[in-house]
Amino acid sequence: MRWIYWILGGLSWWCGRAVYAEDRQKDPVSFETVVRAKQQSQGPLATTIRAEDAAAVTGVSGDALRAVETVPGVARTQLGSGQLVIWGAAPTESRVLVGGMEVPALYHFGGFRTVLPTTMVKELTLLPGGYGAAYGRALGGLLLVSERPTENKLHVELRADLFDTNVLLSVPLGRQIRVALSGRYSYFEHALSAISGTAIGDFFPLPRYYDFQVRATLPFRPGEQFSVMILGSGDGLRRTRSPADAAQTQTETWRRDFYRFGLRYERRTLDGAQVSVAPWVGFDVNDYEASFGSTPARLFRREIRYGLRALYGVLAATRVSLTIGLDVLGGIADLNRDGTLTRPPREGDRAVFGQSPGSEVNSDTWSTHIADFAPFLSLVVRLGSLRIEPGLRAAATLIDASRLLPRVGAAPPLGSRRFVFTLEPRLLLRYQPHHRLSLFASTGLFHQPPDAAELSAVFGNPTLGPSRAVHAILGAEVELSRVLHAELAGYYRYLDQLVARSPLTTPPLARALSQDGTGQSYGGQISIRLSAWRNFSGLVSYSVSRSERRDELTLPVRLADFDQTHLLQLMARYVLSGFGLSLRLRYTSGFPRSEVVGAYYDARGDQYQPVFGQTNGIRLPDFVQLDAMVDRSFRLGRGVALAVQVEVQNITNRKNAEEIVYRFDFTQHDYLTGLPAIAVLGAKLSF
Amino acid sequence: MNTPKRLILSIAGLCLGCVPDLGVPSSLIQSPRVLAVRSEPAEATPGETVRLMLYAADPAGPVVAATVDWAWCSAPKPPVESNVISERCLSDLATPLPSHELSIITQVPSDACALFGPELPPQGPGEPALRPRDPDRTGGYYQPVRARLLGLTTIGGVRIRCGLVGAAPAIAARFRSEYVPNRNPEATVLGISVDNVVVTPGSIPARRELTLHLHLLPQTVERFLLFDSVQQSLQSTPETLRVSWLSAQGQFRISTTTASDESQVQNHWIAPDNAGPVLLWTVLRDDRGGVSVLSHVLQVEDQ
Repeated sequence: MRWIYWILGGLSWWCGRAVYAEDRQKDPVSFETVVRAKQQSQGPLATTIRAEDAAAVTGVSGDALRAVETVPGVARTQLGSGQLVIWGAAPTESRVLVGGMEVPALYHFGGFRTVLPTTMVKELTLLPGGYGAAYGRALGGLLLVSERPTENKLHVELRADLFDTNVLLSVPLGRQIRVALSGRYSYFEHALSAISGTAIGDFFPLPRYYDFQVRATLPFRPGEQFSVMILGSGDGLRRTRSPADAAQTQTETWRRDFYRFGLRYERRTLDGAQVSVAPWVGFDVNDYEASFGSTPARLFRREIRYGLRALYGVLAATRVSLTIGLDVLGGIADLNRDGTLTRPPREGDRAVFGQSPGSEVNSDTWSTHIADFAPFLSLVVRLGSLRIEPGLRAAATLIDASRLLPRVGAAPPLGSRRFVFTLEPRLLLRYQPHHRLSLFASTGLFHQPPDAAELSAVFGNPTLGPSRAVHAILGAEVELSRVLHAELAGYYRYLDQLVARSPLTTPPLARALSQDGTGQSYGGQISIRLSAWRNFSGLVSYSVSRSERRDELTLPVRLADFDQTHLLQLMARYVLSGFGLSLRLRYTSGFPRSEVVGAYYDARGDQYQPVFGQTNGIRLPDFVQLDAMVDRSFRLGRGVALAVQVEVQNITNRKNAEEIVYRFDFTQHDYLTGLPAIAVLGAKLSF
Repeated sequence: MNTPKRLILSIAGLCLGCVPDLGVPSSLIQSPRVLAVRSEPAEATPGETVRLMLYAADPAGPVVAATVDWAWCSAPKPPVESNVISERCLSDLATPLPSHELSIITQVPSDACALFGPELPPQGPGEPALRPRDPDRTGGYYQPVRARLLGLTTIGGVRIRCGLVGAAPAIAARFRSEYVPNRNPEATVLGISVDNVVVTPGSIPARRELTLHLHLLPQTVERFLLFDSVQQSLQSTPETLRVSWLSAQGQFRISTTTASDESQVQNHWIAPDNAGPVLLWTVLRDDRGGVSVLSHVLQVEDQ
């Protein structure tokens, strides 16, 4: 790995030399920035990337939201998993908001695409932690996505590549109303199956997905606007393993659909006051169905979601601005689950790839209503070079479960309804001792309500309450020159009241999950961004982190499933004669895995079972990947533009280990490797 | 070929190469292997006497002279574990049995339904009720038994008759009176054909793919009552049978097959290159824990 450091060191030195030279010559900036970060009031280390810049990032195949993978602190996740891991937090501990509406996932199944096409994205903002009182319900980070403004003229955009095709139609209706329609449909599965046969899906799960968006805006008067947003997304994925062996055949099928309908009223007055009211409603369906030999598993969930974000911001005094608001999120869910307790898996489960769960099964049908009403208040006080941002968020969380105990005969169910009240103080300090140096510190308390699927009296625990986290962040931003910015930060996150499986041999009734888990994540990150200099831009970032969990006080501390010690990234872009040439190099530590120290033969199931050593005690080999991209835009006349990009991922064809695979008797193992060198040709036609 | 098509093909081909080859299939016997643990009767009540038989084989044939360390497992498995037993059954929480034969007669522990079934001890005042253990998908609970042979650890299970959990009294009473305990499945003979022509075990053509038919005794596929806790009903459900095929030579197309009908189970086998006797093993299992083991001697001939 030493060669990476040599390259990195050389590039940093060259960038430094180049930028000093740039300062002397004062050349104009010649092209758009690839990645742009700006500090917003949401929290420290907030990184905002414009969609145009994000889509040009190497390795994201033109998908703007996937550029979040390049933000320091965001871990690389397993190929095909489509998960967002921020500072070692489990994916379920972070949230994604699109125009203020919560969506259940960032990625379509397979992780190749996100649920919102680039054509509908204005920018994305990542808040890795320590954010302000306006946001909550997450122990980890937040990804905020803002929608692209509708255009006041006819605009058509067509994007197509190996995975899917996306069409955008933006059209004005009358003098004021502007409407944008977008739809995307994947054909990756069909194309691959048609050529290679359906057997390809037995080894490589092929996702199929669609999504659509409608956005309409009606500006009333300057600074005042009403808008409507409709989102829809559907996903399906099927995976089969060992299809030739009937007893060991494992099939898993996932389906996820979600729809959102939101309204938003916004007004900005001349004195700087801001009013925003955004109610929304949605509908989610999630279906997981699996069979592991003869052992079935199914979790079906249907949920009506609703929410409201209302916000009023005003300059209360010369140096004081005030924001008050109300943040509501609710879900009314019907669920049924059959099968084994250990599928779907949870963070911290010990299992090897392809291992069948235990043969025990059960079933349950239940419903929940979880609603969180959170008024919040935040201030920004400016005292010379010091900015103080205190905030307070008070949440009343309704947790309604239809069954406190498992079903017995025809006895009527006894449910529960609880209100849990939490207070979440937040504080951000920012001090600028020099116009090129800014220091910041942030801390806050965060809560996350339990998931509806965890409130089963058979598979979970209907008395679960919110989990809790404390964030603390310390950092500095240095403007080395007009185009060269450095950022250095350290963070610590303590978690408790985490939901985990009960380790007891015989847990109490309706307590298969307990809330005795604790954890901590800590680490640091440094990034240096070259915004634009002589057709060149780039980013070097390095994160070091550790994420630990303890499921119960008597159990030893273990590494979290998503711990990633080192994450080094180098991105560079150069524009030459109209061609954009980009490179992206990634190096990350391998994922933790539980070591197999032995095995025994299960004569009843006719299969070998592993004997585990320390949970998450070993790691997959390190991951290194180099991606390259060439792009070019053409003007075809009459307002028609064509943009073409060719992206080659894993250009060195390195066989990165994605998973450990064991022989049937666990006497040998090898690695399931990721994608080889793969070229993705994409094109965008617009007029 | 246009570019996208070439790209897709390259992905397909290379992704197939992503799956590592981990050597021989599970059907090939290369070293001493335990094939099955059989209990007779296949389903017993706690305290009932059962005969436990361990079947093992190596490339030379059945293992007949070996010392087996038998032990009843006495540690329930935490529900959090994906494995079939508690790992403590592999170490300290197991009760050794005095006999060391391949076949022994012993009694099912009297606390089997309390440790591995749904009949948990009543709790005292103020103590929370405990979560009953989950049955398998046939409604069964199993007393694990550990057997150590030639350094190999095997976990078998004796299906135990326990009460129903979560059922109304009338349903529980009907279940007690109508449930028929499991019997071990039985196969009779192995039929062999090549290109739909029947061949005898004494004249198997080398290097040819044979179709194997394991014929079952009538009524081998039993029906049993299964309790549905959500619907609060009893359903008569047929068993599913599957056969594990093993041999030290040749190559099975599939290591384990399920019964296509109630009379036979089918597989394909490529005979070895060399002439000589070959031993095939068939291990017939039902999904209620019943098992039977048969060996079949074939004579491979050069043709």
